Amino acid sequence: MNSMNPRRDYYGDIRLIKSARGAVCLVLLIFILLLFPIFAGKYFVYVANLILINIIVAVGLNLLVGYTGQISLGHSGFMAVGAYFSVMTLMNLKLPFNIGPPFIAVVVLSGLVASIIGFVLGFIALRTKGPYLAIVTLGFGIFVEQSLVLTESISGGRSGLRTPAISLFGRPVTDEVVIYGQRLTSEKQVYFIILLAALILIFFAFKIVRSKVGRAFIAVGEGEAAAGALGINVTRYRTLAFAVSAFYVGVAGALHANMMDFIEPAQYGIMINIDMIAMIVVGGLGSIFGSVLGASLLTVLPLLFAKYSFLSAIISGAIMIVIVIFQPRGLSGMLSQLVPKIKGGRLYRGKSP
Amino acid sequence: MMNTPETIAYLTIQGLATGSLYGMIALGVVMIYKTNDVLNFAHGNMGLFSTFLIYIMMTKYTAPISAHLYDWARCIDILGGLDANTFSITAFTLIAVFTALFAFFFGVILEVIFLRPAREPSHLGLIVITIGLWRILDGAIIGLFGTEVYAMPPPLSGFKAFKLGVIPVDQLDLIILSITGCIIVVLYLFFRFTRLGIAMRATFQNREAAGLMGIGTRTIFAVTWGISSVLAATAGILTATKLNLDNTVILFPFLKAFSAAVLGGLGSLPGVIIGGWMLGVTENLFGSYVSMGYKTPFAFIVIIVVLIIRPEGLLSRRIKRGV
Repeated sequence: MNSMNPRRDYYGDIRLIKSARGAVCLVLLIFILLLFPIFAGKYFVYVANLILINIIVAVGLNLLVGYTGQISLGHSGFMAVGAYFSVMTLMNLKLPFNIGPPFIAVVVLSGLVASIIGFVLGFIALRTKGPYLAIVTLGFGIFVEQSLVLTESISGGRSGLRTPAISLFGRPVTDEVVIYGQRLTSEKQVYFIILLAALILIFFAFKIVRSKVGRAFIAVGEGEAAAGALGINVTRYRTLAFAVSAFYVGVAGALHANMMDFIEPAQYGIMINIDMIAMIVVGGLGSIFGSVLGASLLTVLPLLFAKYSFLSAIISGAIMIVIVIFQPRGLSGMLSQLVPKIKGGRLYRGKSP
Repeated sequence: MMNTPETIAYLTIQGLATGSLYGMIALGVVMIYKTNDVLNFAHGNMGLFSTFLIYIMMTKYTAPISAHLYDWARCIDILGGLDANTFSITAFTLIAVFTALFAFFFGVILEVIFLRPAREPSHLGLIVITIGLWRILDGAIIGLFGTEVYAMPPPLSGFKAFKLGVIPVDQLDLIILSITGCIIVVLYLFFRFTRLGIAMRATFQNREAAGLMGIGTRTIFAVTWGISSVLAATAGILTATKLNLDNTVILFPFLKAFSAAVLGGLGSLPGVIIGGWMLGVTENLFGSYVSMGYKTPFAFIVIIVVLIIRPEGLLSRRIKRGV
């Protein structure tokens, strides 16, 4: 995707950080993100949490849709699985010595459960493609949502579940902590967990994309028959892509559920999938950086129009259409065209790779 | 639930009526799929938009229009034995015709504005355009008409149940079935005998070849969207009549119709109607005899299972695609 980077050899290409300047920028960015809650108010930290969760969702979905070329309209199902599994485990699981299950382990476990279901869905949907795959995944999403409504005795049905407060190191986050004279409210503590998860998962996604697996994903996305002819096991990588992206979305679902006080099936309705697809398309299919941009933009947009929620739907829909028509590579594609122009003025034509 | 033949017949007719609505929506979806090669996710909301339009016009203009007609008839002395009620039916017919025209041009405009500019569209790109359109229409409907629930005004309300021999039937179900019958006949005649219909079938079969034979495929695209939009509007109005009108009433019928279209294989147009009927009847019998709550999940499980077994849909021939 990133044709502006000099590609001298394979190892240079798969390296994550390409220059000293890049490393400095990265460290600076993480530093700013870590300091952010100190300066920001409660609401902004809450918004940042939402953005980070949506970034995890978008990156995960992009691995499937953008890289592997498999459309999914059922990832709300994985989000619901992650959310309900984590909440129900935290509520009901009793470990010996009367300690609650550790939160982070439960989040990872929910991701794994979602990814197992994703693997199964990917496997049974193997023979379908294009519109047929869209319908199978859509059916899966509706099935999960409706099942949550109907299994009232277990999942609370339409009225939903109250989520317990997250406890870290045996202490609920609702207690304030004081570190170096900084009082950290519950949002801010949750922020650090979500930030950690997001950074790890983004890093992981970059690693996947630059590995053998990621290249296989891209090859499958470019053309399944061609990939098969090159000796790539299409079956394996399609199911793997489903499992990996389900893991991401499951983790995001678990984090989101526990960040909120309350979950209900309506939160995991079909329209969520449309939001997810919108994020990765606006950001740029097949670009992790693009997913970050798209998720941030489309999380903030509805909040800006909180009073007129229909406006944000109209605007984001319009952005989606405009981007597909004029800039199929999304915001990241737009940026990668813009940067050399700013750097080199009009005469700069870009180095040939 | 009585397990008599009469109840089964009643449930089957009810299922056929619901299935007809699925079929009507699915027919439009398949027609668009055959021309533009895209699943139109905005289809349900296209129909819903026209449904809201007819609702607004019926509540606001039925009385004035029928009063005008009444005065006019009295002026030129053709009143005869007609009463005001006949004129409100006439007014409704006028409004319905206007809505159909609106729906047609609405579809045409959507195609021209949103689908046509996409150059070298990828499959995913086109799907995303229609998803974006879905969002826009969704937002527009909420913005213009709100999220309240409306009951359709007469003559689209107050339907009675009666007995056809020994079988109890709903009046509305019969109306839906007869409208569907009319649509099938009209579309059959249209595709069989008119120049435009034959040109459309040629375009469905092979866009490039049809273009080379001198068919204006761009016009065909627009007309296809127009006809699909009219079908969606009809289905939307009948669904709203059955279930009351709000901004989400079309969502599940649309998703099921959509799936029925894919179930039928996105191939033949008659297959789509049959797919819709199959889904409607199966779902209705399942809902009545097994579990009402699991009716919708059941429908989607059936769809998933069918697609797993036959990835190209039930009724379409297997086509080996080249690389």
